Amino acid sequence: MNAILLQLAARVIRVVMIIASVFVLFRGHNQPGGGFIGGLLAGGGIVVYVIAFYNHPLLSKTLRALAPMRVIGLILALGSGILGVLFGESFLHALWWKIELPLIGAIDISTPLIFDVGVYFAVIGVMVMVILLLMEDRKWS
Amino acid sequence: MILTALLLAFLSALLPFLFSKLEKVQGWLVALIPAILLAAFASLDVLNQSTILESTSWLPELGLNINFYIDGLSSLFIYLVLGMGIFVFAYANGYMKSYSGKSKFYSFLVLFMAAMLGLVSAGNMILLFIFWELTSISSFLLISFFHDKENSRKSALQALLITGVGGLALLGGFVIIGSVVGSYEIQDWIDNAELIRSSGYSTVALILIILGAFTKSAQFPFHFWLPNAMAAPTPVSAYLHSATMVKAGVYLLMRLGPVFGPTDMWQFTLPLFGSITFLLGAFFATVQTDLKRIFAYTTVSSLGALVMLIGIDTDLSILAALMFLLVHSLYKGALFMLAGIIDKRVGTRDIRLLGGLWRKMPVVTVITVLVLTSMAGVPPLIGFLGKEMIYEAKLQVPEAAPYMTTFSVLGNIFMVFVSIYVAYRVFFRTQIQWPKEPTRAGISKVFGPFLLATFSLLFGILPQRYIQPYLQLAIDSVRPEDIKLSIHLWHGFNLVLILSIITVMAGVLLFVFRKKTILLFTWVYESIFSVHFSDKFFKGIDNFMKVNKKKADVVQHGYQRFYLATIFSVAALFLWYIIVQTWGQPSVVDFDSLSWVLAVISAIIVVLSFMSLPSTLRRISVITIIGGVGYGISAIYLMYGAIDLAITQFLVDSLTVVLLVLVLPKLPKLVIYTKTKGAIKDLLIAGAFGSAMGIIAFTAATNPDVDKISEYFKEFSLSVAHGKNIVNVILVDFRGIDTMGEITVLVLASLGIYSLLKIK
Repeated sequence: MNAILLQLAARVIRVVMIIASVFVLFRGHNQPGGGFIGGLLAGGGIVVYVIAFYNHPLLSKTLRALAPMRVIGLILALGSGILGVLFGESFLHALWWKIELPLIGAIDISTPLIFDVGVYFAVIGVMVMVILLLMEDRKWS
Repeated sequence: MILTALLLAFLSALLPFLFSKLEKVQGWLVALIPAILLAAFASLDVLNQSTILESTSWLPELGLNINFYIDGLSSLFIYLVLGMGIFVFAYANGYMKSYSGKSKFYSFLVLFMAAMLGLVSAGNMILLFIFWELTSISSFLLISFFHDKENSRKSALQALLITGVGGLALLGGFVIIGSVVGSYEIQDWIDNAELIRSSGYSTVALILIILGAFTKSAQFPFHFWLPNAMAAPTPVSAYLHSATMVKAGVYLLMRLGPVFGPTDMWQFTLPLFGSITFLLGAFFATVQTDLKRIFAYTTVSSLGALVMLIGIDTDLSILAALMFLLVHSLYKGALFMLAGIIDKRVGTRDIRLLGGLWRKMPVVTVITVLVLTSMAGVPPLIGFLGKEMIYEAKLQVPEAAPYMTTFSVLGNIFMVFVSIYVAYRVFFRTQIQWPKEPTRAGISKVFGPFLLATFSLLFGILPQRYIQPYLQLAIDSVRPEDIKLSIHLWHGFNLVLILSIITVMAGVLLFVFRKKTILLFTWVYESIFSVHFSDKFFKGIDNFMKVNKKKADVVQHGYQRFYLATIFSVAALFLWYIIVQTWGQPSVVDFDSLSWVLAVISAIIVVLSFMSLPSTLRRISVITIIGGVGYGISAIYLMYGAIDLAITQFLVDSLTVVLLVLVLPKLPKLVIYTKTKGAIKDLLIAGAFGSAMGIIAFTAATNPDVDKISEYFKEFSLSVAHGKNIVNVILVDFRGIDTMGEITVLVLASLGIYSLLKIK
């Protein structure tokens, strides 16, 4: 059975939620948001998509490709901490850089931002993994 | 610099995979890693600088720093680890030729080396402990390399369990000393040695540390894992016995000698267990038939000798220990390599089947005899110097000199006998039939042992030139007294030399009557030492598991609801204890700033939803209601301006409901309260836990006397951490380490879900 309306909606919802999640992630340091909320948002988008397309033959494969995000997330978070050590401070010490980019202008890059991206990735990765495992266990795919 | 070198060493564990295409020279390429590291450490020039310190802060608030402390003792070990590393990798190139999984093998071996390197250069005891455990793990991977054989797996598990338990004890000991001194730096421990020794906890800490060192260095009664560890490929045995792993315990004891050396506990326990291990190891070696097993027991024996010498704690004994450490590394590494060559060429390591090999492989014969001469302690090899120094140290032990010396002579007689006997059985006995017609060993394989044997000879003849400076440096860093070393091959004609002559004569005598000797030894071995430690160990583990399975069912019953009930009731008990203890705190309630009409409405929704739960009969309704409760709570957050919390709660609750619905058909039927007794019990637990949390939250929020941490966050969030969103700044900056832990738990939980759903 295909729920056409749900599928149409899910396509849009997924895109909107993932874009929103990235937005929420990057504004997180000064306004409500951040890696955890962003990750949950993106994960929510993916969950809606999975429910709509549960019997699509390629779905399982696509989700599996996303599973390494967990590890990438952990490595990013850990790496941002180690950067602090490499710059002669303690583990997870925050470092800030100002970078001039053409067209966009000056932006702040910092280790907390990298850390937050790591959290974002880890949350998405875990959610994808959980939904994938449940899906395969229920013999959807 | 040291940190960079070490990080590179760990990273280079990945290099073997890059070299996997160059199969023929893979080992030689990997041997470049220790060679380059050796050059780097040599450039530190320890000879001219007494101690090199390097510190990088990691978590300074917890006293955890990546501090390195390299003095003479460390550098002696570093040279051993890296030097032997070069030989072992080069040797493995030929030895591992026909095996699959070579890249993995080299990778583990590099990891093993890097861990050992870290261990001997660490300046912070917690850092040392981490490397200590890393050597256990990497040796587990190496011993179980032939993991399709049950014996390998069992031996690896045994080694891991024994050294793992020891590691835990060690950590306990470190933490006790750490809290006495208030620091985990080795330097601080040595500076505060008096304080440590006089504290009431020092004995407990020392027992734990000794337990750690004894398990690692295979002291009686934990010695049995080491002979079993020879299930590993021979290059690993050569490395593990000569420079790594088992020498870690010896290093730790030497390192802590200045701290604990003068205590009675140290001077009693170490010599006692050391001499038992020394004697037993040497004796067990005489009755073995497997070449690798014989050498493994002689390692046990040598480790016993080292521990005994460290325990005696005089200048002479420590010097003898350092010397013997070097001697043993040189000959034991070579012996294992030679055993591997013979095994490969003839097809067996059983000395009952070997014999007459000197015609077939003359070069191997010459090298082996040379190395065995060093093990027997015969001049002019370096082994003679080692033994002389041990005798000298023993003769000057206060109070116990006669016993110690007798022990030593007896053990060494066994060693001499084993050396001659092995040489005779393998090379000179007439033997017509071999399992496989022996072929000549390639030059590339024999080269490593040949060089090691040459070193044994060269260092023995010219000790003052090649090894004296390093030993001088090492002894200076562990003994405060000013000691002037002067090591010569010829000591003059004295009691020590007489003892040496007696030892060798007795060994030769035993060999002359070898048939009767072996018969007698085997009889003694079988009648007295019928206890097979290793079998007993596994039986013990089995029984432990059986007993545990029975007992554990009481607590590990597998019912989620009872687990939760246990967790909540225990937590409630502790929380209420604290609440009663601190009852009567002042509280100031400021309701003015709140739009509390809306809050009360949300609260009523939450409470009503909860009230309806017990009477709900379908799971889907329960899930929906719990979701509703979550939304109510997030509405309350929103009203108090905690937008981040509100969004998070809202998203988590929505996703939880969706995921729960997915697993709904899998769940058993909802338990309906038919017995009021159960309902009352649950109500009591829920009430106690909920009210405790409520009271604590209320007290925390309304107590005016407590400095609130939120003030600190408010003040520094923008000014220091450059963020206007305090919640986010707390998550990624102020409390970054907590978040780090949380996402790690999250990922681990997903692995748990994987194992629950996939492995059935």
